[in-house]
Amino acid sequence: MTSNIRKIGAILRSCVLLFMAISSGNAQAHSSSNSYITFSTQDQISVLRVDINLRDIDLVFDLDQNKDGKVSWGETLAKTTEITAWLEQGIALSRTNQKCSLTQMNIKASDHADGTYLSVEWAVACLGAAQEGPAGLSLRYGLMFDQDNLHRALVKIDLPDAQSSAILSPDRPEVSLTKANDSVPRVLARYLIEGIWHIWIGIDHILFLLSLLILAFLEPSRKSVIQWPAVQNAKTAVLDVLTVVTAFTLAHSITLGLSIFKWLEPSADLIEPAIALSVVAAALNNLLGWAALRRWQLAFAFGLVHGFGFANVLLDLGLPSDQLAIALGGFNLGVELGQIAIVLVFLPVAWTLRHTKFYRWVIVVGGSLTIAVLGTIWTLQRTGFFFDYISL
Amino acid sequence: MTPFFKVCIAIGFFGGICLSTPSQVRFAPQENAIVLNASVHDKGAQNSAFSDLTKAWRSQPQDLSVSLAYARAVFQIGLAEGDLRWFGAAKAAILPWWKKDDLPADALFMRGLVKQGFHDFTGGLADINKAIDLKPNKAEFWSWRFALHLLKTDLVAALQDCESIDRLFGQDESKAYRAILRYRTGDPQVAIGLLKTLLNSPNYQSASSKEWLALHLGEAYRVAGQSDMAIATWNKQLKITPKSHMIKLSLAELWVQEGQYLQVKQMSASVAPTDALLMQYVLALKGLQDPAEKNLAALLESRLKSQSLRQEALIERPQLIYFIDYAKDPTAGLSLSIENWKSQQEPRDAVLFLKAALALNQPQAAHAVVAWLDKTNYSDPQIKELQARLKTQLQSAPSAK
Repeated sequence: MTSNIRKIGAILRSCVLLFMAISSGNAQAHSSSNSYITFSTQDQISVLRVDINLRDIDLVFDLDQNKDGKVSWGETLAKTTEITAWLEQGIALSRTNQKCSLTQMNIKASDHADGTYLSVEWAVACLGAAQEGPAGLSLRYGLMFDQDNLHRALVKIDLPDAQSSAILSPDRPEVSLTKANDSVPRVLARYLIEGIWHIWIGIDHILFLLSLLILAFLEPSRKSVIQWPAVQNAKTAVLDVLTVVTAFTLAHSITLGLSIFKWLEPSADLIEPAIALSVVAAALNNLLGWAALRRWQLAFAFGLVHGFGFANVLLDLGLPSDQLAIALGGFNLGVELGQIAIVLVFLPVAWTLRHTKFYRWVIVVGGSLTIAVLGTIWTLQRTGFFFDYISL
Repeated sequence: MTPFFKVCIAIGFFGGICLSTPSQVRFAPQENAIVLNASVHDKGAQNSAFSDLTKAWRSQPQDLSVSLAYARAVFQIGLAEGDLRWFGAAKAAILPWWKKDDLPADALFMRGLVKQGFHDFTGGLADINKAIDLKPNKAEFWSWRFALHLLKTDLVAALQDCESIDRLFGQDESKAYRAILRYRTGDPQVAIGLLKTLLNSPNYQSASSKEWLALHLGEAYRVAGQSDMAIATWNKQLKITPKSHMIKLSLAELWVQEGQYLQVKQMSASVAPTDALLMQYVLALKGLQDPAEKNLAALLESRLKSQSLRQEALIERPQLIYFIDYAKDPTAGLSLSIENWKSQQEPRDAVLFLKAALALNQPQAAHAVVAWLDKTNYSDPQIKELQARLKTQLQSAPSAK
């Protein structure tokens, strides 16, 4: 009997494992362990920052000294010497096999989505750094891999001459900080795709553009807009569309260039609400009928504002200083291609519907009003007013 | 566009956003501020045993038996806490033997467990098969093989495992496995009867046995459409084992499914919920139209983005739920479902797959799930409803006219 009970116990202990296998499958649930490494410059000093989950530090050092099941910041600091030594033996920056010196600046905390991290910064000094910049530098990381094979270090290089990212793993613990493959076609392709992507996900830019295009298929008259007749000649409509798109393109290209070359740098706090306001203005302009401003002029004026918005996105992406023009050209070309794709979808639909009441009432009037409302909400959000909790 | 390419786009999108996200702000907490709510080493009654295993392994990482003992301990913690990082710890412990063929059965078994934990089900099954060949009298080897056969919908092999367990360990022991096979093949009432009998048996009164049986009994009730009984079973068990991740998750999922959002909100006050529980919490808050949803959804998104940045192929269910149930990106959800279904077929994945296909009005995309349902005869209330909708959509699809 005892033997039988033991056997059942054994199999049921194994069943605990079994259950998880068959009913959780991929439901495993806590994120895998990541550390975050940033190599950047602060006030002319090269700084290496490592953020590592305190849960992982606790695994290695058993920080809970008073055994209350929790770890305080004081308990963490009590092990600063051991932790620092461990960090510094696990991270190495070197240039042509010569180790750079790391001078610890401070130990702090940082909150990430999966908990509080220990955040350490070091000032980095490498031989020949002044002459050669980041070229020839390599980063080796070996923390945690012996404790957790799933651990990864997510590296972000953010230096004036090099921006890149890398994932370090037990199989690939080292990364070269020299510039990645930055051939002209690759840079052009990367920024071209970014440009297309930005215009497609930038609903504010799309609605602004569409607001400017919907009247291109109606013949202006002194009557109210809902009584405007449909354009008879396709050439007239296409020319109108081309004028508006060209004005928009020209304008945003100007300010995009001015901003990227740092000749004019208005704050994003001003630009983002201004873009939202441009959406409202373009939409409401459609309802003014004969008194409406010329749309190509509106496209040009507000296109200047949108260009600053594009520049902010491009700057966030990081730009290769030696291939600035290629990146800028690629991004701008991408924006144009993205726009053209939107126009090519909209043009045949609008042309087909231009005779209908639906076009005048639903698309022109209803669409413009809806866009104006959306633009107003964005303006309020971007200026920090209410609607903060509404996600649009 | 292939599903794989779509997955790459989704990953690339998240990755791109993540890379452009500014670094987290640094700060200096007060000395008495709690920075980790649950120490990794706080294992309650198991504190001392776990600590000893850890010390032994760190001092003798090249000793196979010591490493296996540590790997087993951390793997079990991973299962109990729903924390993938412990699987990483288990792999780290047995890494020196990761590619060796000539290993004892226990080592092959442990390696098989870790492999399947990383969704290498074929590799995991191969190792467990070898372990069984070497040591057929180890019950847990059979139980895991049964589990993997079920996961891969190899029902014939799963049934053969049940018969082997019958033969090697007696009929009583195989009842639990038969019960699982029954409710996974359209016969939940029989499973309920079997599991209730086992739960009341004096031989099955240990805490872990009761938890395991309660979990499956609840699941059998859920599959049979008796949600109230499932909730009562899991609730009762949660009072006994309040830290059980799987009980919590099963309850949260069912409460969300039943629209009992307040219950989830009350349960999920955990300071560091797993991604899976956090996802259910976000769904519940959405159902309650609670303003806190926005912040928690942002937290979850941030976790998912960090995972995407790792550029690994491991598909986690919270990500699928986020795309599909939370309706963030059904297109990406469908692509991921198609990929995920190739490696594992489980009822919850089937539900998500069907939902994504229906949301996108692409009923044909779910043909693999339909075939699986036909093959296994599996059904539950959610699946039934989705199947009906699928049928309607298929009939109204242009190709059906």
